[in-house]
Amino acid sequence: MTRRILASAIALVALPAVVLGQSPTDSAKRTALAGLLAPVYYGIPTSPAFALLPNQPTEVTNIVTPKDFQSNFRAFHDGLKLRAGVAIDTRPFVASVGDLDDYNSSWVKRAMFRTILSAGTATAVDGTSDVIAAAGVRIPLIDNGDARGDPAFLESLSRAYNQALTAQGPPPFPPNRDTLAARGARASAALAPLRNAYAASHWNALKFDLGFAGSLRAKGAQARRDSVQQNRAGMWTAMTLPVSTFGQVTVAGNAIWSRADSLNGETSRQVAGARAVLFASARLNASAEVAAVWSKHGNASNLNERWTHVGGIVEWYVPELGGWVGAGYGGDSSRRTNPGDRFAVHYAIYRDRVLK
Amino acid sequence: MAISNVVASATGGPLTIALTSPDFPHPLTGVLWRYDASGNPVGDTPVGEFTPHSNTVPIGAPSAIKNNVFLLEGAVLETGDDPPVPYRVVVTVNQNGAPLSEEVPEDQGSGKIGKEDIRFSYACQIKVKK
Repeated sequence: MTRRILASAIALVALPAVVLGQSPTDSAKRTALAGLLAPVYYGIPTSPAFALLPNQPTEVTNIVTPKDFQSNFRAFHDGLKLRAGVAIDTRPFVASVGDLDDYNSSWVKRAMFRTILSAGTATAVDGTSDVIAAAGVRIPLIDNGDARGDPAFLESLSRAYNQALTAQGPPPFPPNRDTLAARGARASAALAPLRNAYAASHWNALKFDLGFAGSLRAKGAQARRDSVQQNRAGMWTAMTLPVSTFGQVTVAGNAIWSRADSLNGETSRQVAGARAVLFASARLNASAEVAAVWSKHGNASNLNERWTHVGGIVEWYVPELGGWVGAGYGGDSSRRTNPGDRFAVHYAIYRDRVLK
Repeated sequence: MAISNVVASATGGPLTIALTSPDFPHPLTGVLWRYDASGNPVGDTPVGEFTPHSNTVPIGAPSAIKNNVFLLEGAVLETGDDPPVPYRVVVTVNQNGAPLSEEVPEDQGSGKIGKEDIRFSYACQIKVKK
């Protein structure tokens, strides 16, 4: 009864917002609430190299074979100049770890297999014809959610796949590829519930990742030694830990060093922070995070600054409203470059949940 | 679809088929169907199945399977590889533990795998020499 009265009260208070469900104002409130989250502080870029490029590449070529590497390496360079807008990623050690038993016998091999190497180029954004070239590596040292490392799960997938094939009876003879493809697709579809259950039970598994990247600036896109200078370097680390089955804590840090183009330019930025997310039920989510940011100017130490980011959100699904009621507190602390920043309360009613 | 010929010795002992991924750590799965020389299925259920833990299926003595065709209907199970990675499966027909043939299936036996299972197939006919 109390719950019904509470829901009715919320519905009454929220009615104007629901009526304005699609209005820009309501959308802006949700955006402001979601803005309390700063995921960039607590994660590692999938491809660290791209984090050092002025623009994220729109298309990334995946290199699988040495032949792919050979043909794509040429895409970086036309013989005289570096080409901008090229991006590749690859797993360089996939052929070095052996079979599944070898993989599961050594954490070094597992880390090697999961390592991702990325490289890309982009035109500098300062109006010059300079090209920024970056390369980086991401090393997932620990991943307890790795399905490949769970023999019992793989066995259950295999049994389910084989069972689904067996249930279809023997394929007609002579075997036809289209028929076999359709049978295979049905067998794969039978694995979806198992995979979904695995994902649901391992979403917050222990993980520890490292990422490194560096970039160079080629003046006039020339790849000659006297035209190339160091540009930026970055390092990322993050560890996620499970909290029972419904929560996750992330502790992370990153640092990016830059070559300053002017005396006042920033030369490094470091971030250290932690975040906790709780999915207490299908209707109640919460998140809390705190991070400290240091901005350093090697040529003008008086410009150095430090600020704090804080964010806390609770959101509740109210069936009577057909949406979520969310409230949060946080923001960035005031600093020299953004004196207007302050912590503030935000709330909104919306259809798509903020915490995912 | 191509059907390989595998020649076994009449007196060489029983045969087995093994399914492996020697170069890459991928879980493989599959079932093995049997057909007589005329292409009629022998039974409604597979002769055996392959799982990540059990990669070998006995198929019988040469005299019992002479001219029979075996069809391996299998898959490389995806484990969320992003970016995709290469795979290569090898099917080996052994007699008394010694390999008679070792092949990468022509039908999707190699390639790259990302976030979808890759099915593959391999068929061979057992010829028996005296």
